[in-house]
Amino acid sequence: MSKLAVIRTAVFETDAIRLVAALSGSSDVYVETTQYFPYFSFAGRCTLPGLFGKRQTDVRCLIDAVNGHGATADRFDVDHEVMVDSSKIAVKLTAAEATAAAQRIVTHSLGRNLRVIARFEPDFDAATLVYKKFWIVGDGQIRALVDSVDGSMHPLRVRAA
Amino acid sequence: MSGTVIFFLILYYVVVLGIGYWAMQRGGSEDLEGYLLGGRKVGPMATALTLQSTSMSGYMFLGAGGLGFAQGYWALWFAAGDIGGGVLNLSVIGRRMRKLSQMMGALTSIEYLEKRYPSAAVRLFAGVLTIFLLGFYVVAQLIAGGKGMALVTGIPYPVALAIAVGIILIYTFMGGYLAVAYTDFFQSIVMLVGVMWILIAALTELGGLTSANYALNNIDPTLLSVWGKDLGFQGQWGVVAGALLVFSVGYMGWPHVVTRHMAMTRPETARRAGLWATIWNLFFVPAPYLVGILAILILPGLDDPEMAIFRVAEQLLPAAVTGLVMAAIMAAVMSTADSLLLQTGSIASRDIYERFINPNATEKQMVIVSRALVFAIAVVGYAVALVEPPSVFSIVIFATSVLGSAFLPAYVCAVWWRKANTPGALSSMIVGAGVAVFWEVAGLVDTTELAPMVTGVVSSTVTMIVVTLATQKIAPVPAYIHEVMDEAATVGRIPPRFLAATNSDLTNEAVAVDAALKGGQNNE
Repeated sequence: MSKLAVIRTAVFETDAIRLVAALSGSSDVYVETTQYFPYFSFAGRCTLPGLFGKRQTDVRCLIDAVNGHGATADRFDVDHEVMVDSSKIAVKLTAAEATAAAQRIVTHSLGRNLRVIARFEPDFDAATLVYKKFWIVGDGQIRALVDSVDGSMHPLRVRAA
Repeated sequence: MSGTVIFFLILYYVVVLGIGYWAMQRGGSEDLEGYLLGGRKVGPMATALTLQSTSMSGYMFLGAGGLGFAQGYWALWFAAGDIGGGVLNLSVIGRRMRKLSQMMGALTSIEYLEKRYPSAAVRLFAGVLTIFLLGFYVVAQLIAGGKGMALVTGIPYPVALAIAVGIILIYTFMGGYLAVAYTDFFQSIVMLVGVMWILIAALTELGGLTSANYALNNIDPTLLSVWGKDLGFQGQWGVVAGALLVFSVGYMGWPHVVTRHMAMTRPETARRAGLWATIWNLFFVPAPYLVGILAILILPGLDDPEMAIFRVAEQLLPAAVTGLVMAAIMAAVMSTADSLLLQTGSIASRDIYERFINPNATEKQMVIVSRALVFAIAVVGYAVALVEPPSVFSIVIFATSVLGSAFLPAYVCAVWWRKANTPGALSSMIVGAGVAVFWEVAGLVDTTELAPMVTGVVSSTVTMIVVTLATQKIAPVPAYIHEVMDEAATVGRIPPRFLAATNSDLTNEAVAVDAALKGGQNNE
């Protein structure tokens, strides 16, 4: 058993079942299990250039601690949950690797969205490891994971008969 | 040009800068962060029109009008390809490209090529070729900006060109419109309104399209032909195919367009954005070509065909509207130029300098490299545009043809063909670019009646297939790439409604969770 920081759940078990049931048309949808996926969370500040002078903004980034891929992120709150280790996906990335990836992704996103060649150099606080809960929902035929934060969904491979 | 035109031109930019300032100030840092990094505050319509305003360059106002003026209705072959290009791109490589690049962790299109076709040579060749050709494309924008500025202000072309180059550099180095999506959205509306206004004014002046066609027929019936003035392209299907292909499938080979696929928001947004882009294209794309055709009647003594749209606007529209239209044209030029320069600088710093010269490069060093390259392109571009400016049309068609020829099979096969391997992709890029350049430089279009785009794409595609199949044993595609492609292609027998609701941002998580559930090997 472990006690871990988990991004606060906004989409609950019943919501996940309703979502998948609506898509599959099945009435036998149920939550098979939950899985906790690890991310390195980065928060910091960054100075933006512009004709109207420089401006500071908060920057946030989540790096997938399994594959090293990342995405910029909204603010989120964290709860501490106790879970069995078998429902926790193993971390495969070091904090240093994640930090380098976060710098690169934030710099790339800012340059692209602001359409400017400038130094951004986001100043991140230390990385924290957070987990996101995914509901694994199925009806015996179809199986999907449902994001417990925003309710988005991705099918999993259909199990062999 | 009257002071009124200049006044409205300046007013336009004040409004655009005001929108940018307002958008960035209206919220606190949290809003700003959400806008810049979250991207969730921009809906499909704004997404679509933002893309359109940056992809529709000065070519549409100079090259397209000039072609219509010179060739009559034949010019509409280019428009036909352009209208469908966006949807074709989105359908063929858009969604799958987005998913694959995300799964492979590639941020730029050139980086994606190297990850899909693992080889440093792929990235080096693709990076250098792209920098070279996008540099060409930027020169076309500089010429368009200089010509427009000279006409609007009445100052000599060399000075006007220097001002246009200077403004574009300031935007690229310092940040121009801070809230790019909002200002691009506004610009796309102004561009559409501006060009439609000129078209309607021209049609009104000539008594409608039918009357204009009768008048064109009286001047030269071949202007109404699909084979060009004096039937210059009669039966030349190879040239017609090139005109159709250059802005349709050609787009699929543009690294800066492919990058947009990779940056798309969720698939459902992309689908609706594609619809909006198509609607916008239907109205916008044919208009400059038609104005160019109508300019044959309105301005029979026009000395520079590429100034057709500027001159028609000047002749027919009230000064205030002319100012607005001129502003729209300059907006098209600038929004495209700064995007291209940014892309070029990014490739130079990330894909060449950091990857091959200084792997431990700091952010400061990479910014210096980017800026140095952009500055060099601006200086060389200024010299070229000043000494012997080629036509905007020629430059754009050349750059697009070579980019499309080099990269089209590489990008398409990267997402659709599991067997496509590194030797096939590299040789395809080299052969495609080489054939297209050779065809253009050697002037083989006239003798063979085949456009460089056609011969380039055919030769790069054939090379891709032949070399890939011949080298399967010595250079097999790595197993992990097959796995990623399989994952992107299918997740089993899933109902379409289920797939349509899928958030592909979660693909990596789904793969890891799937593996954990099957074997437990990923769990702690």
